[in-house]
Amino acid sequence: MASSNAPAQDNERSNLLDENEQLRTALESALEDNANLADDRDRLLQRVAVLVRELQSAKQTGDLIAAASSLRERDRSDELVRSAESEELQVAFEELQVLAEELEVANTSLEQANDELEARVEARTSEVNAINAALCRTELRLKTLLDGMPQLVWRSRDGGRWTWSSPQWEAFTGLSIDYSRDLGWIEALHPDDRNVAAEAWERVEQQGYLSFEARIRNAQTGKYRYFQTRASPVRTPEGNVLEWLGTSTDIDDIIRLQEQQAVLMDELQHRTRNLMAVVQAVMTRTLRGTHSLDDFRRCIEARMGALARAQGLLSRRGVHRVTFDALLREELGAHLDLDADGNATQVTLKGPSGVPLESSLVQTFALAFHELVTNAVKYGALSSQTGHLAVCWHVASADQKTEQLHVDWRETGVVNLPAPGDKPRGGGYGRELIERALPYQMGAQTSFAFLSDGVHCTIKVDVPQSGT
Amino acid sequence: MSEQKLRDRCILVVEDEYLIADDMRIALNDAGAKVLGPAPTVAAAMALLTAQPDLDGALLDVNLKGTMVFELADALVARAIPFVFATGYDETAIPDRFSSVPLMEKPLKTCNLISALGPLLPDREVTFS
Repeated sequence: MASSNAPAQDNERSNLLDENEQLRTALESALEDNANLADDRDRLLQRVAVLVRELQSAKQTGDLIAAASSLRERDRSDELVRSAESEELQVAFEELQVLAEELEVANTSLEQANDELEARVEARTSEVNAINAALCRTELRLKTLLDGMPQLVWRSRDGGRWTWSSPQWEAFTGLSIDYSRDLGWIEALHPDDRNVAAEAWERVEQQGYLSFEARIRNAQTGKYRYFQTRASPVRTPEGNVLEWLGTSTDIDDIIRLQEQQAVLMDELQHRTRNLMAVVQAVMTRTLRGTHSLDDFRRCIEARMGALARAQGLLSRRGVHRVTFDALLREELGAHLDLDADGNATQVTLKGPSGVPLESSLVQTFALAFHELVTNAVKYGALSSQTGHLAVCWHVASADQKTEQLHVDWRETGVVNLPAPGDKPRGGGYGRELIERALPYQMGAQTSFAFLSDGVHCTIKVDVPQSGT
Repeated sequence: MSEQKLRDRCILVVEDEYLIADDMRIALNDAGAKVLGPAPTVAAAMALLTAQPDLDGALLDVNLKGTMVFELADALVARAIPFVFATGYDETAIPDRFSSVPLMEKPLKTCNLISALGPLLPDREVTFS
C-alpha cells in the first residue's frame, strides 16, 4: 500500500512546495517594489516639508513687506523696490503652487501604487494560507495513515541507521524511538536473523530497495513473529538518497498457514494413496472371492459404496469424530428402510448416540458392518420374515484411562444356517474383517460365531478420550 | 529371476492398514516368500525383529498411525537387512540417510514390489547335499 501511494503523495507535496517557493519569491519582489515606492514617497514628503517651510518664511517675509509697504505707502521712491519684491514673491508662490500640484499627483499615484500593492499582498497571503492549509491536510492525512496502519514504520539513513520509528514499532517491540535510533532497532530482531537484515542493507545500493524477512520479538508475549521488511529511498531531484522510508509487515500468520497447507497437502497425498491401496486390496480380495465378472461387479460396487460412505462420514465438515451410531445407521440405511429413529421392522438398535471412533478405524469398521449387513440381508436374519437383528452397544471403562465401546450383533430366527465346516456363503470377508482386521488395527477384542439361530458377533474396542 | 529370489525368503511386512498389509502378504506369499508379520506398529515390528534371527528383507510403510518408521529402518540397517519403503508421501518425507533405499509409491504393483525387493537380497549360499 505504502509503496503505491507514497510517490503520489510525494509529488503532491513537492508541487505544493514549488508553488509556495514561487509565491515567496513574488512576494519578496513585491515587497521590494513597495519599499522603493515608499522611499520615493518619503523623499517627496521631505521636499514638500522643505517647500512648506520656505513658503511659510516667504509668507512671513511677505507680511513684513506688506506691513512695511503700508507704512511706506506714500513713499514713492520705494515703490519700484516694492513692486520688484512683490514680483519675486509672486514667482516663488507660483513655483510653490506647481510644486504642490506635482506633489499631489505624486502622492495620488503613490497611494494608488500602495493600494495595488496591498491588494496583491493580500491576494498572495491568502494563496499562501490556502497552500499551507493544503499542506497541513496532507501532513494530517499522512500522519493518520502512519499512525493507523498495522505496519511498523520507520525512517533511516543509509546503512540502516534509523532516525525515527512509529508508535506501532514501540508498541510491538517495546523499544522507544530513542532506543531504536541508529542501530538500536537490531535488538528487536531474532539473533539468528540479524545477519539477514545486515546483508539486506548491504545489497540496497545495487538493488535500489530494501527487502528481507526476519523475526521480530513482541515485547508483550516475549515471542518472535515473522515480519517482511521493505524500504524505498527518498531521493533529491538529482538522485541522491535523502533517507529511507521503511515498513515492517507481520506475515507470521501467512507463514504459519503456508506451513499448515504444506502439512495438509502431504496428509492428503498420504491418505489418497492409502485409500487407493485399500481399494486395490479390496479389489484383489473380491476377485478371489467371486465366481464371475457379474458377481464381481455387484460385489465390488457394494464394497466401494461402503468405502465411499466411510469417506463421506470422515470428511463431514465441522465433525471432529465419526460416531458409532452414525456409522451403523449409515450402513444399515444403505440396505434397509429405516424410520426416523433409525429402526426397521426386523431390526432393533439400542445404545447411546455420539460414541466417537478412532478415525483410522472408520474405514475398516464401515467395511466390516457392510459385510455383516449384506450377509444378514442375503442369508441371515433379514433374508426371511422370521428373522430379527438386534445391535446393542454401550461404553465401559477398560481401565482407569481407557474407555471401550462394546458392540453386540445378534441375529435370531434364522433358518437354513450353514452346517459346521461348510464354506462361508459370503466368502468370509466380513468374518475376517471382524476377527482379524479390527484386532490388527486397533487391538480390538472380537468374536464371531454361528449360533443355532443366527450369527452372534461381539466387538470391544478402545474409543478415543474426549478432547483428542 | 527376481521371483525366484524371493522363494523361501523371510520378509518382514510393516503396514498399519490391515487391508493393505494383507494384500502385501498375499503378494509376497504368491512369490514364494514367507511373511513375518504383518506388524501394524513400530513396537510390534521391533518385537518381531528381535525374535527372528533369520530375516532376509523387509517392506516398510513409512507412516504408522502418525509414527514414522525410521527407528525400525535404522535397526534394519544396523543388522544389514535390506528393505524398501512403501509410502503415500513423496521422497522429501524420507530422511537423507535412507536416500539409497528404494521408495515404492502406493498403491503398490505386485510385480514392482518383487522386482524392487528381489535384487536387494544377497545371493543364497550354495549348499551341496
